Amino acid sequence: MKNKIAFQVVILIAATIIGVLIFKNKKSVAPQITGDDQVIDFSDPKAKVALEEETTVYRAQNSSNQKVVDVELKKCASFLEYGAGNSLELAQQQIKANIQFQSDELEMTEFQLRSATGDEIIVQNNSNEVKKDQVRVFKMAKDGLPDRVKDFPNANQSRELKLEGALTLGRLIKKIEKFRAVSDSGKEMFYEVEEGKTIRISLTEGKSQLLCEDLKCSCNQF
Amino acid sequence: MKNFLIRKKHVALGFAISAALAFSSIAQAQVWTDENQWSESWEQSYHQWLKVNAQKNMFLKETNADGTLNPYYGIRVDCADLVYALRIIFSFENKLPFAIKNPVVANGPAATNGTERFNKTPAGILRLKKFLNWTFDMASSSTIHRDTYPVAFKDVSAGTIIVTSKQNHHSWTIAEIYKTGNPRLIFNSTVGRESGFEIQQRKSWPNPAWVYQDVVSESDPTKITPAYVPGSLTGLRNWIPIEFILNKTPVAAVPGYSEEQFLVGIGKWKSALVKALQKIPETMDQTVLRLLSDACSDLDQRVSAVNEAEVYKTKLAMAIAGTGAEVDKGYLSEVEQDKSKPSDLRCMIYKSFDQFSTPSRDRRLLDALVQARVYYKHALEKYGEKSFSVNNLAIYKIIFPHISKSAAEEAQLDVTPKGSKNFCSITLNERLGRISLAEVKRRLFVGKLSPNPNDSVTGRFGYTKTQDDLSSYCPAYDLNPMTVDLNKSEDEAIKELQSALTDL
Repeated sequence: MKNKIAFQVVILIAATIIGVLIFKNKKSVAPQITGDDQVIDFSDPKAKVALEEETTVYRAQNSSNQKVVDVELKKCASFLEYGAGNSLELAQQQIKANIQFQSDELEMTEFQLRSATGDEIIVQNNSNEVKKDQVRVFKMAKDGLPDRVKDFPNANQSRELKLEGALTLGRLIKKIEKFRAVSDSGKEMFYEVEEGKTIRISLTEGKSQLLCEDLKCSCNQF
Repeated sequence: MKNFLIRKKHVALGFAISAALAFSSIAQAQVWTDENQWSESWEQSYHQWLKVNAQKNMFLKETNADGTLNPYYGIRVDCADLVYALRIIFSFENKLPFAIKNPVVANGPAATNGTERFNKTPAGILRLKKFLNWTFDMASSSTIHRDTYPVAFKDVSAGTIIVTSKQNHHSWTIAEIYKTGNPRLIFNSTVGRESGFEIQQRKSWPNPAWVYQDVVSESDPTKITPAYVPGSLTGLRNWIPIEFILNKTPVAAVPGYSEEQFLVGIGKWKSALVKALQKIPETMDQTVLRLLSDACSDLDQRVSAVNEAEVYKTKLAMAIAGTGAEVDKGYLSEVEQDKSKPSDLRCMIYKSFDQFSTPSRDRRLLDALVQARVYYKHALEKYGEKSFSVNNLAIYKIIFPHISKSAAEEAQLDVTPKGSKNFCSITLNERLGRISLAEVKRRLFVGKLSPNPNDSVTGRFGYTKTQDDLSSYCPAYDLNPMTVDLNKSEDEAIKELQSALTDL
């Protein structure tokens, strides 16, 4: 009798484990990169030899639950005369002509690289930063979140050498300079410049945000 | 019947096991499972939790008071790490959601406790620690502003964060606010992170001139960005409620956003803050003693930092001589790998130099001492000696022996005080013995303290320099010589005192 009971328990446990494994496998259909898996040895020269492949860029994922109301541009910047297709420099000129900014500071130069294994690498060269954070390197995972890469050529050296080492991690795709400007009254403008062209402007005042990118501007109210 | 009951028990057991395994599978899908949602009541609980748990030994003690193991023992944090760690640990303990904005991609997804990247690590404390380290790696003092918003003085409470401008790179969390309107701040430093598990605290507001200091461009020193302006990323800030993080709401649209702290003026900042929070006034005697106690903590931390540099130098020297332990060979290889290494290996490489130099720490120590002196002098002139307890007065007289004169004049007249070891006397090392706050103050006021880690303990604490003090020989990288402008410091402290007296 006791054997029979033990047998039943074993069968039940086995069935449960099989069930859970099936459940787990179903869940893991989508590829996942976990923190436990993020070991990349960039000091291994072989890692850079593989042919580059066109891979998905994970970074531009917009939140689907953003509660914003798109309103006419004038509500964000009454002075703005901007039509679709105009360059963002035009919008930027108009903003600067109408708002007195106290400072206009280069916060960061961002280098987007593609590694030999197809990973997207972000190298940040941060202005006015503590030494350990002057040059920061991240590998972007498929969930759109970064993992810091600490082990790369020249990682423990001066800013210049560190940056030089970080840029060997892949082929340069984009170099973007990110600026921040603040007005006397607290208006805040972020803008990004790529190869001398403004590619993104964000002007925030209170609950309004003027956002210009891809040659379009929109006014969002929160 | 018996068989039926036994079978029923087994079926129940089977279901229980199934449920447990299924649950553990679901639980594995995130760092911890949200069972509660943030509310005003949970914010209040967070304040209480900080008061009790945010202590200097929270990562140092191996066991709790009740004898249970401290699960957070051994967590290493710098100043920004601690800001994030406190909020994360409380959220973890109370099954509350945690999220910060994507620190790398402006419009990218938020980093939350829902991440699945640590699924391979057992759920619970081990997974939490992985999440903490991941967050520490992503975040820094420069990302805190994205996850927090500036608040009005009345909304400052336990849990409020203070962030300095990029000129000084520091942050504190308020662990509690006393009835006098003064805080207990909990924080750490990069050196503190390397030295051990203990974190630091102080019981006074930081110098606002330091918090909101203008940022001088590294590439163009003529370009200065003001930090004390509305919209600044610095100062007193509360955590952005999680729904606004997830919705990517601009900071200025978060309810409670206030620019009050940027509008009162630097000179009135501290008094306006204290006025908003104070329930009972602090006596002048309490103020002076508090400031000196803070200076004592600063001194204690400086001694640790300087000794830590000495340990580094000793191990490096042994590694160079080939007499060091196997584990210490890394010191030498780090130096050897540095392309810009100094020609003389007794000098620190850039990374070590940055880690062990103490210019900001020395400035804070100076600020606290000058402030204490100004308050002491004012009370003495206005109310006489009766405004102090006999014991405290004796301490003040030793530390500030020429109180009728200015700080700069006192610096010229000051000699090694007798009986100074009665208050805040700290052992430097076996050879040099103890040094008192009074003696450190004397040396600091005449510019004898060296923030340069290429000096030995002797040089760094203002004793006669020896051949081991190499600051004038080794590269100093970007460290500016310590300039002590006592008249300027005293003027700032007097303005602050006057503002406090006017406002309170």
